[in-house]
Amino acid sequence: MGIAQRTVAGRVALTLALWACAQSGSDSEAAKAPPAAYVGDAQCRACHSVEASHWDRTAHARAFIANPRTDLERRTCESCHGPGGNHISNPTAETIVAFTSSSKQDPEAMNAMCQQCHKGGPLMYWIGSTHELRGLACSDCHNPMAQSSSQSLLRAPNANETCFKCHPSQRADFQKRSHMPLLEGKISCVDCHNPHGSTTSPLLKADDVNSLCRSCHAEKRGPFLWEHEPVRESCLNCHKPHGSNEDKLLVTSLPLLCQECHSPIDNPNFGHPSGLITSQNMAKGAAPDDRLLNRGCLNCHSQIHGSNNPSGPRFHR
Amino acid sequence: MRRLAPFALLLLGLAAALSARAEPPRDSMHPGDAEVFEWPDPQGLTSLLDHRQRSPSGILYPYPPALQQLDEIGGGWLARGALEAGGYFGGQDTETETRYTKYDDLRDGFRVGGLDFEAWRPESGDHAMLRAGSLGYEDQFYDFEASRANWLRFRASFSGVPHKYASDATTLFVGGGSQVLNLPSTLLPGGSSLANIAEALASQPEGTLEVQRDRTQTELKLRLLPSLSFTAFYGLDARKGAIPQSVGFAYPDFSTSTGGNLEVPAPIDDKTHTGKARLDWASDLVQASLAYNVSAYRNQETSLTIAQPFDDTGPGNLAVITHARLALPPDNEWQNVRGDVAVDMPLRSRLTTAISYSLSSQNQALLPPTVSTGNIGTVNLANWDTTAALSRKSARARIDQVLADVHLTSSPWRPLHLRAGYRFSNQDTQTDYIAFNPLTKQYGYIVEDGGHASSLGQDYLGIFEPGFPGSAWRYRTIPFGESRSLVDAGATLMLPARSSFDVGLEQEDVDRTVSERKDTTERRATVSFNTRAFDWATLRLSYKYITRDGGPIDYGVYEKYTTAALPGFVPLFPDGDGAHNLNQLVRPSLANLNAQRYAARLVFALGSRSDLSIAARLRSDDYGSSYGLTSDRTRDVEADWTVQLSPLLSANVFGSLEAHDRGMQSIRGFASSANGDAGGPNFPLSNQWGVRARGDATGWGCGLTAHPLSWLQFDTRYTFLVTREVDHLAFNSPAALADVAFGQPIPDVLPTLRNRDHVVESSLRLALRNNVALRFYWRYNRSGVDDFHQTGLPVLLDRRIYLGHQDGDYMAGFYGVSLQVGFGGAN
Repeated sequence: MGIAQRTVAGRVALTLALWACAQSGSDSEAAKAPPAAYVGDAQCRACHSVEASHWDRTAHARAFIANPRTDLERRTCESCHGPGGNHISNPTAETIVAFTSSSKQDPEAMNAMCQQCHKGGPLMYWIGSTHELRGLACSDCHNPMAQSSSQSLLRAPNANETCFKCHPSQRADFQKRSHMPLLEGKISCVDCHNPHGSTTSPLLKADDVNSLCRSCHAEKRGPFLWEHEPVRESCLNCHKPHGSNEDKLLVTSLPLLCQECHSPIDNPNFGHPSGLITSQNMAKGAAPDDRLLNRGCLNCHSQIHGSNNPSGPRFHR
Repeated sequence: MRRLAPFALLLLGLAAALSARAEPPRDSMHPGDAEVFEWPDPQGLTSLLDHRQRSPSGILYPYPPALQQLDEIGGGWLARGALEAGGYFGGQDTETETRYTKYDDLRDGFRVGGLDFEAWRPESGDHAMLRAGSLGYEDQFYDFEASRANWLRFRASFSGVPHKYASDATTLFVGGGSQVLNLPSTLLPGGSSLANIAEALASQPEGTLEVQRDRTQTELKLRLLPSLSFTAFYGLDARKGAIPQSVGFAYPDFSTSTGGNLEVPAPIDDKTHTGKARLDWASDLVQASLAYNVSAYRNQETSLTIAQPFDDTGPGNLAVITHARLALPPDNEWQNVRGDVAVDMPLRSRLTTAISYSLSSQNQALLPPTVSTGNIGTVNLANWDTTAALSRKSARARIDQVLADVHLTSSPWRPLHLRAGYRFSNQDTQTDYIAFNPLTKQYGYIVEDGGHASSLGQDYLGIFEPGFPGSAWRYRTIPFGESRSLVDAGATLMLPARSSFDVGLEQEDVDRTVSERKDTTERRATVSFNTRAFDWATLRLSYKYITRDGGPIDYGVYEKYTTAALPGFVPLFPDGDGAHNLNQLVRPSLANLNAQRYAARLVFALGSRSDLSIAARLRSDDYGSSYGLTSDRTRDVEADWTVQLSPLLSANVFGSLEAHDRGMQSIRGFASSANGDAGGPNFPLSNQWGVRARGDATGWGCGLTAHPLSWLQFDTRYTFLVTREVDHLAFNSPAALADVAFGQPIPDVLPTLRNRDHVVESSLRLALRNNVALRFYWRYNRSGVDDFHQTGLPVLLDRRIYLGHQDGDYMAGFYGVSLQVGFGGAN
């Protein structure tokens, strides 16, 4: 390592060390700062009348004004924004807890204000969740200042629009040939996902993928007399969860999907040979083949999710 | 009248449909609109700032709506309400295409398009809300909520979800939608010529196949103590209708005189009852939940018996195989108990633990092994057409599942967040059924109600024949199950300038009860970087690397579940029985894997009144197996630009590009030995083939909301998506092909599977006076689809009968004029 490199490395190390010292002391510095005084929401409303007119129609207003659960909630505006004393004398975003991009607080500090009340239950796994690790703030998805959505004080009119802003590929998926009826208004992202965290990395509202899918598709739950292992393992072995260019949300065309796992020999006891399908095997082709036509392999193996027929080991019946 | 019943129930406060959904149901007529009578607030969210407010990630907050004012209605209650009703009608003659109304009910006629009601008593914090739409239509919805702020919430919802499968289905059968499908009087089961069948089909009208799912949900949440709440939920999903189903009798490709395949309407009449009860404790230091969840599926349709029309001259004599019988989904139950605890500890640490136990069970009465009677060879099927032919009379199927998850997070030094965890899950299948006939003392079953033997002879009926070479039939259930152990650890370092860097490591070990690959280990490493250092942008980058390996592949593990394990079995070949699969072909979830995931998300603040979001992802999976799925790659990029010029004018444009590429290899196998290796006698390399499936999706859309005058609002949006899937084929010789007509050209690509969709949706509202407005609604859909599975598919093709449905193109408009009337103070 040359002298110049050592110098650069040394500077970087020194900078980080100084920053680390500053971070370590931040708690104690905060403790030394004079505490701001609570001023009451009348003071807030004097300037923020438009904000108040929207907030008054929210669930927070109904709770804080009519039925405050704690002393903190009785403080209404200052429940979330903290004491406003300093803000009165210096009305900037730095003298109060703000929840927008102009705030000087980091997302962790903003979220801590919400977590004073919103903790436990479906929020139990927020810490360590994908969204928390990506530095999201509660106010990235929620806008508690207005009733923009009918439920949950979302930033956008509904959960789907809120999610699509950061997950646009999912919006495209729901437009594909086969898709869950989300854009039709019949399900929403939060039917399957808990954006506040869960014990699964895709933030599922169940212990695993299959348990989630079967909460609506209970007819496929079984357990069947004869089980198809990849079905028992994960619905996602064959299906895309949001939408697909293929029919039935399949991950690829039939019969290729089946042939990714099955290559039996040409023997009646073991199945039929796994040959390559060509356009000759289409309905108008020279050699129509059931494996390509219509429902593909499922023309015969129609009980592919499992069979309860004593004669169903091959999912025929 | 029947469809209005849920509404009436709601009004009586006896609705069976109360909602635990965080999101209320909708229909496609109100995509995203929260209120019927909602106008933008010209003041915006604040009057103090001259710039638009953004979320911490830099996304603009939409301008809030100006909600209707509440009027005093007595008793201290304030209320408002709105009703939208009018006439809607369709325009083009292609609106009957199935896909157009797959999940919608767009019939012409008078429609109560929307109903909103809200009441609030400020003194007590009591609040009630009702929203509904498309009353009386198949996609109607109702959502009701009553609450006392902070103490009690009761929700109810009803949502109709139509699902149309075909509006042009032709069925040969009498009794569609029931459990018995008979042939018309002109046809004889097991004895009709193709000419007679064609003649009978020609006289059948087209009909609709659809299932109506009515979902009702109720939830009560009650705060028992300041830190303790109780939630109870009941949901009912009821489905009724018919779906396409298939049934086969041997391979109709092999012969013009045997076998057959039928596509038929299968009845759907089932209910799923779901119940949940949960206690939540939430104090500053400890949060805990204890939940009991239960779901019971009840199917009124237990079996489907189908008369098959084809005559037969094959060796097995299909003439005695006049019917098929399918077992329909059995009644089943699922129960779950789950506990979660989170404890805050010193050093900004937190311990979370979850323990969950689930039991899935099913004990449906079993059907006889066949519906056929008569003889096939020397086998009298009457000995199998009875439940006396079963080793037991009911399924007694059961799976136990356990999940334990413990995670510790700690931040001993404020900028450093550490985490570590362990997750264990186990799935244990208890089902153990043996296909043994006490009447004949034989193991085995009847394949395809005897259809399998119709083309191959008695020895291939499915019954174990000691001494007959290769008489291997699966006769016992395989107890599929697995244990998964996941260990993870990670650290997040908060960097200067509102940035953070995260690294995570995971290892997941899977131990399968029965599988060709018993053990696999998957290791995952993730790094991510987030920064809000710049006022004009937020950047999030992540990278994940995944590897998977495991134990040896052994397809022989399944042999003990076949009659090959029984005394008297004689292998098919001198060196053993035939290979179950190509040894080097490993299914994707078990194969060795090297995978990478890249993701980037950026939000740019373009000026003070617009934002631009860009997301890009690359996913690359390389499987370690030579055969089966070998690679899977997906790339996509999306952009979304929103501009909010004023509370009264905003626009949005978005676009997306996706491309994927999936490679697979296989070998067409022949039976000549027990050798299952690629290049061996059963799988010669001359029979090798491969497919590269390439696809893409290109979409874009735009939207505009304008409120140029106080009495005029215009909303419009347009979306377009085109998708393509192309399968490129390669093969070493024609012997690799499934069925081939020699002398005919063999194209090296399958026809493109293509879908195109245009949707324009517009709404114009004119305020006639306070609380009265006229709404004009217009939607235009244009769509095209090409799918080689359906191309040219007739109703009758040799010994196959289909429902005759093909997804088709359509071009349809839907128009509406409705009056919106509100009560309550004017906005």
